[in-house]
Amino acid sequence: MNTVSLELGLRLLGEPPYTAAKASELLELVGSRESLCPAADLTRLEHLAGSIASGDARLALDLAARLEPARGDCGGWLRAALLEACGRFEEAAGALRFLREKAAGEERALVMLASARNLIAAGHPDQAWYPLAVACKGSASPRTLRNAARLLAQARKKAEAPFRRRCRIALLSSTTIDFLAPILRAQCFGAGIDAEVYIGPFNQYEQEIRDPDSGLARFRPDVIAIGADWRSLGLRDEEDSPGEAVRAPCARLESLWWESRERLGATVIQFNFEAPPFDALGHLSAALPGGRGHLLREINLALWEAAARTHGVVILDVDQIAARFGKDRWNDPVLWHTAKQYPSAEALPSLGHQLTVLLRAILGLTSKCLALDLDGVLWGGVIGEDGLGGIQLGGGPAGEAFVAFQHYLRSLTRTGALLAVCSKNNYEDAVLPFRQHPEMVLRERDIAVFMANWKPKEENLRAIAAAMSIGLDAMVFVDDNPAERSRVRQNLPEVEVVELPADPAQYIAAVDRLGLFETLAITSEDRQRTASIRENLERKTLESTAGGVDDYLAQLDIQVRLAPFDEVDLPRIVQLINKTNQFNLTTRRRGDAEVRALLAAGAYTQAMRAGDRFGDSGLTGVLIALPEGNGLRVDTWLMSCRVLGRRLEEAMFGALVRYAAENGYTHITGEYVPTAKNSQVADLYARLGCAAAGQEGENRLFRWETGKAFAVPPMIACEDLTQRAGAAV
Amino acid sequence: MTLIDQRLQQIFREAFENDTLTLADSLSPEIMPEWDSLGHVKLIMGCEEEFGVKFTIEETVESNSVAQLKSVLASKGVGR
Repeated sequence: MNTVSLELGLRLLGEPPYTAAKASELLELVGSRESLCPAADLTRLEHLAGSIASGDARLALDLAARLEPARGDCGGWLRAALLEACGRFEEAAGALRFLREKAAGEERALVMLASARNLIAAGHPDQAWYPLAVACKGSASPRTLRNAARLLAQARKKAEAPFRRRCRIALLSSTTIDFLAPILRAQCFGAGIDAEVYIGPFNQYEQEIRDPDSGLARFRPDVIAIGADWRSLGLRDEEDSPGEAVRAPCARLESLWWESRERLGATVIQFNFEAPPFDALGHLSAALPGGRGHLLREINLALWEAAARTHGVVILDVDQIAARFGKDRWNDPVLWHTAKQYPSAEALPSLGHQLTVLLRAILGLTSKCLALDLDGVLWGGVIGEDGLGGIQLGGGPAGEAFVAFQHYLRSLTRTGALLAVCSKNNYEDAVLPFRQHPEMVLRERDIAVFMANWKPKEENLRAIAAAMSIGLDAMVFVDDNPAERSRVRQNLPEVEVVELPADPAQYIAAVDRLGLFETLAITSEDRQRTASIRENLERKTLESTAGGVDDYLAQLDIQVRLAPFDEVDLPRIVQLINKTNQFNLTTRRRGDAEVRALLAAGAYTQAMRAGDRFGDSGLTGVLIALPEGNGLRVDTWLMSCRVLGRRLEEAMFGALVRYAAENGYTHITGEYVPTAKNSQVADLYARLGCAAAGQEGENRLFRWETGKAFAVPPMIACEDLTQRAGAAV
Repeated sequence: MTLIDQRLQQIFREAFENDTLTLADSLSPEIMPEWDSLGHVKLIMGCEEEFGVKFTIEETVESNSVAQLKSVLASKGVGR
């Protein structure tokens, strides 16, 4: 029986109702399979279970009972489906729990979705969020994602779902894009984003943006995605004036960007244009200066250039997404002619995924650290046993794949991603290739934190996060050992665990596909981050040898520079506003346009840069205060974790006090808005000497009378450029 | 209920977000207000995905009741 495919076996078996003999045949057919069958067969078995149960519930339960004793994963799935069809949700959820860690890919998404569905039906919505999120992250099937979105909506009526960010996103398109909405909601949930999605009327994106009373305007979007397709440009096969054919559509879109940002206050995601896979002119279409293929590529380049000049506009590279998916399948001529559906239904998950990747970056959810196992990940073999000469690294097909993966990882660090080593090895063995192997691409200086020991990996991952001062939800774990991955998933569900394929040739694609390290801009701080973390670890060593904290600080030669916000710093400032959690008094997330609006409203601002004898930490502090009556109210105050514990907050506060005094403000109002992560600054204002001034709901207020003097610690050399009125933006 | 009806019923339930919908051959856009043009595309997409088939333009247009949908599917070898 094992040689027959499950699909064929089920066909031969025929349809329910089943006799006792046929039922036993089914058990034999399904129970003889050790591992899970392909996703299509899983769905088939679900239908079969529904059909059996609707005809004869007693037979269904009898079959479920007979499948119980270790009848393989496929049998476990059928058992769960039978139980669910009979309304035994609790037992079905129990059966699925055993399968959750066993499957990969689309099958895993189906198991997780079924698990979530049964947990919700059994009255445990709180336990359903994790499997539901995994299903949303792992599936590329429109149907699974649609069902996940429905389940999410149902579950949210019963319990509060865990979200890291909220986002109101409007999808405006020249084509039918309605079916993307549920898929995008599911994918956003997988990324921790509570997406409220608005679909603009078909092909009215221009009217929607320009009309102050449109549905779009009433929706008040945070993000507007403009998805005009190549057909809507109306380009002929060959245009007589190519320059104008490029200039006109770009100017029109740029003016829509301006309206979206200035009037609607939204960030823009502009879809670029697919160069279609079919063209009567063939290769000439791209070769002729006026050819449609040529113009579409020129328009795309012009859009990137325009977006680089414009704040708050990001381009979604639809042409690349379509190419990656396969342009022949990206286009569905039947659905185009019958419903103006573009791209094809099966392509929507790819489009939604990349949109989610950009939204993560816009909302400051970019992952920060990639924690790497060594043996089987950076090289083949086991360094502790095979030795330097025995591991596979370069010098052959398998070894080349590991070298290529290392190149990819090193390139990732350019975006600000940090690499860490998290390996079960003797430290001396583990560092050996980094120091001596000629084919190693990664060197010790590329690794911000190096953990090679025999402790459980979850413990080391916690230590790495602590050393980097980042949350576990900013960590990504790469390990070739499924047991280690499963263990980390169970112990640290916040950590993103990459489903690494068995073949090292596929490693790059497996990590890249997730888009976890997507960033909107690369700042100079990003490029220096690894060095900065390494310096920090050295500082900690110094801290443990120096006497008192102030002695230690004095040895550091701390220099601080405070400046008003300027154009160059704004991207980094917005980045900090959107991702800083711990030292953040109010945790008010704001986009580029909103920060500019505060500046226009007369805000006093500080961008703090800090350095010491170990290096430069870069722009790591932000303060915004707004005039309120006769005083100043601190709207935003945050510092990056990298510079905490060095009394830099006193330098910032000192400058604020001085500004208030010299500009005639009678007092400063400070505010603490409690969140799950910022308890370390709950008493900051009190420590600085402010008086408690009551509460506004959960928020605690503090007051500083301007007449009072404030002493900045003498060991900090502070250059203060903020005393001149007005910011430089 | 035959397996094909079971599968088709599930497609209808998902397309119209109605977990108690019961499939009948007589269901059509005339008696189901939610079976509008978008709903129709959802059904066709659901069938293509579930049964691994591709509808032509003509088949898409003429599948205007459960009975007709089943006959188009049968012509593609589904359910045999």
